[in-house]
Amino acid sequence: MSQNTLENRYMEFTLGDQFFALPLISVKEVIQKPEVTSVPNMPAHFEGMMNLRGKIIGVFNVRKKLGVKKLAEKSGEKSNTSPEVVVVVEQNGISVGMLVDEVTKVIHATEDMLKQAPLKDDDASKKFILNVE
Amino acid sequence: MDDFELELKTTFIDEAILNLEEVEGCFMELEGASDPKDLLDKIFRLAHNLKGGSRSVGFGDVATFTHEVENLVLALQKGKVTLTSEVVSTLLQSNDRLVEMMHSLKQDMSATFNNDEILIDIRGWVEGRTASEAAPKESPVVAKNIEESTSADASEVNAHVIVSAEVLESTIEASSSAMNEPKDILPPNAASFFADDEFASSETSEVPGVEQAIAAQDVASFGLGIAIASAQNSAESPAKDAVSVGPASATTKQDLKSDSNSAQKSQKPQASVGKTEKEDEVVRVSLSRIELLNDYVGELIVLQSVIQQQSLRGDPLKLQNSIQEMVKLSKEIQNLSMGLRMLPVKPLVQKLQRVVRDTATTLGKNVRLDIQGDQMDVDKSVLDQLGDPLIHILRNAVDHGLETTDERATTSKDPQGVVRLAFQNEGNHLIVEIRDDGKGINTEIVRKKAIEKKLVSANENLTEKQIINLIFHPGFSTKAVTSEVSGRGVGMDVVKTNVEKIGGQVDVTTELGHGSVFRLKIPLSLAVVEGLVMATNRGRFVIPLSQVHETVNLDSVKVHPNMLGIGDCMELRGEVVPIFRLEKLLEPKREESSQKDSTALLFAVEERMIAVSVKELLHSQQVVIKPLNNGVQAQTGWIGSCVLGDGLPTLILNPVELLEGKVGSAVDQLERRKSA
Repeated sequence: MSQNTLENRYMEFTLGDQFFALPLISVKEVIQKPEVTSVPNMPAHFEGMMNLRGKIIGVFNVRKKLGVKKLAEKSGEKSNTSPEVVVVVEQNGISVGMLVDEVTKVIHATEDMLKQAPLKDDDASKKFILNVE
Repeated sequence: MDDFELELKTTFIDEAILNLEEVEGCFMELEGASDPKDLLDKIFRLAHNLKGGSRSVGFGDVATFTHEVENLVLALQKGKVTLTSEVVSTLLQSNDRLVEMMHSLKQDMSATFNNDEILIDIRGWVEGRTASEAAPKESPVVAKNIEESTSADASEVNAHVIVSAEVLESTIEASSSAMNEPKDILPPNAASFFADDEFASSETSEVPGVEQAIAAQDVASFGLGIAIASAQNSAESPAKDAVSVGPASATTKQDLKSDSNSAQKSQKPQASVGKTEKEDEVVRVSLSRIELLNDYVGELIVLQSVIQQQSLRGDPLKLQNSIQEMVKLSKEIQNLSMGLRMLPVKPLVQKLQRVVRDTATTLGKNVRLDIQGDQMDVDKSVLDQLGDPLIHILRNAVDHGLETTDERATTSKDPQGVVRLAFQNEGNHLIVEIRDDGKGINTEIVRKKAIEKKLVSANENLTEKQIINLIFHPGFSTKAVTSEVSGRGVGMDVVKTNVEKIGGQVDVTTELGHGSVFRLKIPLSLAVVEGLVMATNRGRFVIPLSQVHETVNLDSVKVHPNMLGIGDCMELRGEVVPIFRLEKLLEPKREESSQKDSTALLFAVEERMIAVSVKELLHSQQVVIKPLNNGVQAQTGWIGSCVLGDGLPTLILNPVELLEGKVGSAVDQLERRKSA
């Protein structure tokens, strides 16, 4: 098995002081957070919509969705928090922006390096998470 | 199957579907034609092309079936069979069947078909019997034999070809007339099967048998097929190219089956049809249009480098001129590229003719459909949405609108009912008018029915217009019994929903005893609208200018805060108009901002004037509508999104939809107070 296939590479990013990763293959691009237009009647983790070179896509705030606190809020420091970027992911022809704090690196992990998440067996949590040091 | 063969087959199918559409139009015309000769010639040519083509690419079943249809057309040409509407019905059914076959073949190239039922009808006509009399006893056997012979082992078929070739030789002199003789088509083995039958006793009846054998052989040998097919063409009257491979053609997704009540359900193709892939739609565009577009784009490139240089040299006046030029040029390009989406309404009209005809036949009514302005071009997305509403309106016009022939006689009307379908341009809108000369809508009956269905209360005071608009209510039907044609009460609801979905309006007027008029007003294009940009405390929004009736500065009118418990109202030219805040309409649960709105936009909702207030009007501009499908789910009242001049995205709203359901209660309350 080739080491450098897209399948076993993951893009690591931060939310607050925690690390997360996305399969690299689903990531289209990473851009600085542009100005986002808010949209009425949407859940709190929906940030708004942005103009991606003429294509209008929705932007979700992953931190709010996962309930991770901002770095500044947590430590009580003054803001001027981490820079925010939008990770554009595409699946089934639909592009969506994911607002995260920072993209740190791309990591390589084969399947045996992945461990089952220590979560209950319900649908939402039945997925792999990486064990990050 | 190699790529070449596959491509040949695909091209053939696409072309055949187009051809069949044309043929359907011809069949429709046939019925009213005074001199059908030219039409029949044309149909014959098309059928013949199809036969030759299908045979050469190896679709034996299609060729066999087309051959039979061709025979019937020949019989009509020769005057052996009189042209009645029943014959046309059979022809139309055959056409449906062929379209069906083409679609199945598209899925599965090796599909086989069983066409017994229609073949019985067709043969019935050719033999001079009526369809119903066509003997059920023998025909299935014939058909079975055809199947056998087409799939038979090559040696047997070959043998028959040799034998029959002699026959062909001996009769080649007389063949042009003999083959045109409408005779039952029997495959060689069937001919011997029927040796003592009256139909299979002469030589001439065996000649078509050759064709059967050849058809069968074609299945086995593709290359030979072309040669034989063309040889056959020379034997028969019009010498035509057997293989017609034209430019790749557009396929219009018209589910003919769904709108033809007479389509026979039992005749499902044997192939398993599982349509999962979404086809990319194809539009036919003339080359000259594309060339023009290319020219303009070329100019744009030149201009771009001019601007680049001028910006370096720093001559603001020249630069401004160039930018001006670029604005003009990009407008031109936009117009052209929008034009690429414009399609003629003619194919849709053809389909509608068919609907009217089928409905009238099912109901036993005598109906004429007059058509005006069908040479218009309309944006594809509009056209796609227009089909269903028009089908429903026309069916309704024939079923509910027009009286039966007997009823018409008693009211001294022409026994033939007339439905008029007219397309016309009105500014940026397409107007479709459907007018029938039937009995009109009886508002009393509608009212009673509506009260019965608890859509309105018995003591409610409704204008005639309001009563008529009740027919658009889902589930509303005045028909006591649901028939095959109508009565389920979904049709008019579909009309309204579809038309509003594409930003249009439906207007109904009726005169008791003289008929009704349905008028659809639809924007010609959906992709670009003139929009009004406005600000609320929750951001900017765009509303299509065409929907805004009037704008009012709220400082210039008298506003009654929370009047009579129904919220703010304003006095406008002596009328009390309820005001809804846009931000409240969009987010009912959210707390309102205390800042006052400065401007109200007036909309006509359900025949009443309603005002929607916003913080301020910004400007109007052309916006390109972009679909909401990337992570933003469209909600009621949202048309789509667009990018404004500063590059930020904004929602485009449909206020009429936003107001729906909210208006009725407010205005009713208002009127009740007024009358009290």
